[in-house]
Amino acid sequence: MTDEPFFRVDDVRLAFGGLQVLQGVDLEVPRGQIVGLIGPNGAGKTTLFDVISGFRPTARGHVWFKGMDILERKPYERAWLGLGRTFQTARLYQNVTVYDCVRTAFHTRMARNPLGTTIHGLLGSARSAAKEREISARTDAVIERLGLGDYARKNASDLSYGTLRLTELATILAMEPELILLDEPSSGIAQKETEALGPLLVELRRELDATILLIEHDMPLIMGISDTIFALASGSVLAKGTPREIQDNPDVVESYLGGSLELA
Amino acid sequence: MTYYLNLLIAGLALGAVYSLYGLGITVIYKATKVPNFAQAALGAVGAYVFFKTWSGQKPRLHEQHVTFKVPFGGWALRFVPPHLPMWGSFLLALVVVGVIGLLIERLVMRRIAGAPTLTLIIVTVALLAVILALASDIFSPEAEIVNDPFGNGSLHIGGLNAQSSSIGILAVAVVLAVALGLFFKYTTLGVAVRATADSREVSRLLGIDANLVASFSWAVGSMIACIGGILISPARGLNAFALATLIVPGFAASLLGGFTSLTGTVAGGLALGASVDLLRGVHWPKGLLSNVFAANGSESFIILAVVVIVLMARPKFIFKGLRLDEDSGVSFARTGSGLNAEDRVRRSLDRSGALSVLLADWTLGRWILGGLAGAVLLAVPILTTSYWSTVLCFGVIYALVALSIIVLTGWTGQLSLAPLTFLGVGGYATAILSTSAHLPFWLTIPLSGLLSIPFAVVLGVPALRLRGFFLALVTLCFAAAGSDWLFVQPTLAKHQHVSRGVLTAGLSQPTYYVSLLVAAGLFVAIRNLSRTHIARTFFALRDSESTAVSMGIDPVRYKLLAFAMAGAIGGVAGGLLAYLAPTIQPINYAFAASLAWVLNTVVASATVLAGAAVAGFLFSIVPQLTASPTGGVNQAPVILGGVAAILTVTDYPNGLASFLTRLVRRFDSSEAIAWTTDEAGENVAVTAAESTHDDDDFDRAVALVPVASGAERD
Repeated sequence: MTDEPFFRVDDVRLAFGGLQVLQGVDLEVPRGQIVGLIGPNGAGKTTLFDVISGFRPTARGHVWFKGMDILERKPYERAWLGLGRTFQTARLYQNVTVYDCVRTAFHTRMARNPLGTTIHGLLGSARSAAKEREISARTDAVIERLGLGDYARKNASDLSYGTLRLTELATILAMEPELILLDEPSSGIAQKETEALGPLLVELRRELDATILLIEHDMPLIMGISDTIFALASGSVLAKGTPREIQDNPDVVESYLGGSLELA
Repeated sequence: MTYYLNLLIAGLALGAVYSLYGLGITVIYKATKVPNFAQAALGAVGAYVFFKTWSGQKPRLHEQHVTFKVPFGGWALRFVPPHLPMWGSFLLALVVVGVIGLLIERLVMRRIAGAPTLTLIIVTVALLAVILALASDIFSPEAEIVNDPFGNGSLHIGGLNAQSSSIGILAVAVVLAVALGLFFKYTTLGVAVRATADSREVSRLLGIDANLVASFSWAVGSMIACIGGILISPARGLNAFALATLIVPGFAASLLGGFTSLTGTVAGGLALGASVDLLRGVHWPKGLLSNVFAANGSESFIILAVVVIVLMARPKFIFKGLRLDEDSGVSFARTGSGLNAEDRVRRSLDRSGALSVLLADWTLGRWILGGLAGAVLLAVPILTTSYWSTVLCFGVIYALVALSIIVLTGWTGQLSLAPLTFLGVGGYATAILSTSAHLPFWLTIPLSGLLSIPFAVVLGVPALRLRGFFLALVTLCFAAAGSDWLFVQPTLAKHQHVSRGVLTAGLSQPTYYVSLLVAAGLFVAIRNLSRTHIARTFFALRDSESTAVSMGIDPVRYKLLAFAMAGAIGGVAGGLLAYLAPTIQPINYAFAASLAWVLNTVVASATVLAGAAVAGFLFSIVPQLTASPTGGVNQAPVILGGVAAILTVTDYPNGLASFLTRLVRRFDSSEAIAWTTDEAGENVAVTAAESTHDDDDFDRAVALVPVASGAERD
């Protein structure tokens, strides 16, 4: 177990009909790192996230997580193993409050079989009430931590996109995953917020003792916080290296970064 | 062999009618993505207009008059329609139904174009209910036997024997399908419809008038339904509610055509009709198989089986044009915060000082109101006759039906159109347990709830792979198969009575008190549950299944749990109903009644628990209070309920109870700001509310993040 890598993607392939979207992706994420994933649109970044989190059941290859091949696992089982993700366009529960969105994220702290919880819930038992108090206390802490107090009682559908993104991070904070997949956390939010996002993510990693795999188009952000960066193009890994190496890699510059090298 | 060939011919004719209903559905779905449940009602109207005016209908119909009544006014327009030759009646029917189709599109559907699937389903189901009720009131509520427009001749070739009507119906279906096919292929308008079906946005950019396409499709789709209704009436009898059941095979035929292919719809309808008649006609050995297939209602069972198999297996040749995944789950959108209707009402109440005692301290007000309601509920049976206990008891039982709909549809987003089927299961379970096993009511009622759970879970299995409209379709077929096939099985049908024991038949008071106690218990239990993580899991699955799953929620377990709970509540309600109603009849659980209760619950509120009580009161007790002054309009509650359902989903999707609870809620601080700003004047308040929505929120969010990141440096 000790020499097993924390997280490794091994020759992952996926086709939509005749179109090979992922053609043998290899990727490794050491525990505790922030690893960036960049690439032009259509490179397969989000699709790779979908494969890792289990939303693409037809994928082939191996996804190793803590010594297990999780490719055959159902998406919800991967969450119980310690994998959390966000979506490119923040998908939250529209008709419940921010507070309840976060409370729902404590699902993996509940009993796995819902029958007992349901019966206790129906009867309004002391055990049920105690569990609810515990979740509420943890939720208060998460809400406070991200400064969402003013929004706690608002519906997700009434939030601005920036607040929605923050709520999404709050649910991740609640889940306490060991590996966090973040799909373009800066998309749709203002520049000022994006600048604050970097330090927040670094802090998130420290507090949760987590590992982060991150898709991002905001170059200053991803170059600033990543330990390693993988550049994807047309469904395979084009280059791997430190942010500095990636910025100097002529292939990456050619396929993605273009001429703009005046980056942080 | 000739026996089976004759069966096949009859089956193909039946299938041709399925095809006609399916064709109309396909045409409308293709162009507008609206699953039109009202199709069967349009067919019924067409049949009425035709047979009421056709001079060939001899002897004349028992009820010759056409009567337009105005509810509550006592005013009525009553006349005998003209006698026309067949083509005249036919044209008149086509025009009337076509115009109704146009009106539906123009007045209702255009306002909600592109709305969520749930809204579209609820609206067309409501139209189905309203048009059926109106037709039954205007023409006649009785089923009548009508002559066949194709005459009663038959064609004999060897041993083969084809009724002239069979040949006629087949010819009409094939000619119509070919004509429609040519139309869609070669005319400009036809191509425009197909382009709109492919992509509404692109065709709009190309300058295609989407409204014209929609109007046209509704008119054509309705007229095809009219033809189907006329052709099937001689076989099924002229009755709005009998003709309504054709919506089930109609949807099945359209499904077999992938909701897009005309050829597929016709072929599917023909194959379905042939399978139904062949399977029914086979000389099954006495026993299970003969019970399954030879019974009258086996049509609905065969259709359920075909629909489930097709939707689960999803053969490629059917589904090439149809993406089942794009159909989202069901959600009752909340109206945003800010100043809503209830805020305005509340504000004017506050200003006028009305209800100020109640509203000033709602904790106290709640107890006062609850106490009053409780006292009335407890006192009515003592102070009045047994009749009023019966009325209240129906209200209590139907509140439980609404409760089951809230848990399954409002909370978990699984739209089931079969809520009453579980009442049937509970009813027959109670009958059998009380008569054969001699169990007392305090055992039979909970056991009925438990026994309904497996049925609910069976219905839940397709729900694991289906969403929105396709789940609704399966549950519709399930509801039809329940009342037309399962409950008429000889082993069940003989149990029409329960052994009542202490809950005597003549006096409904004891049954009422038992129902009240059981319902109160279930309400408290579900209310407890609504405050726990289990309820939040349901909401999560309703609002975004993918996010729920990524948080570790197992959709299979929790959806089945919701189905099981809804089934158990329905089973208990069915047990209570069995003790209350004089006999247990399959018709009590017919799908039309199920649809009505889904609509009623939506009006009352499918998300707020109080909605169940409101639904029970409003749709079960109030109609009894107002039964007399409707001036001969029998279906007024259904008509008003249907219209209310349409207005609810289009304008206030959370329903009446949500309105009431928001009216008396405690305000949070952000609302208080809008409130005080408003003291200065109406306009300021509106602007404040709007700005809270957009810019203000955004600026505060921007300000927040640096605060959060600043804190972490400590």
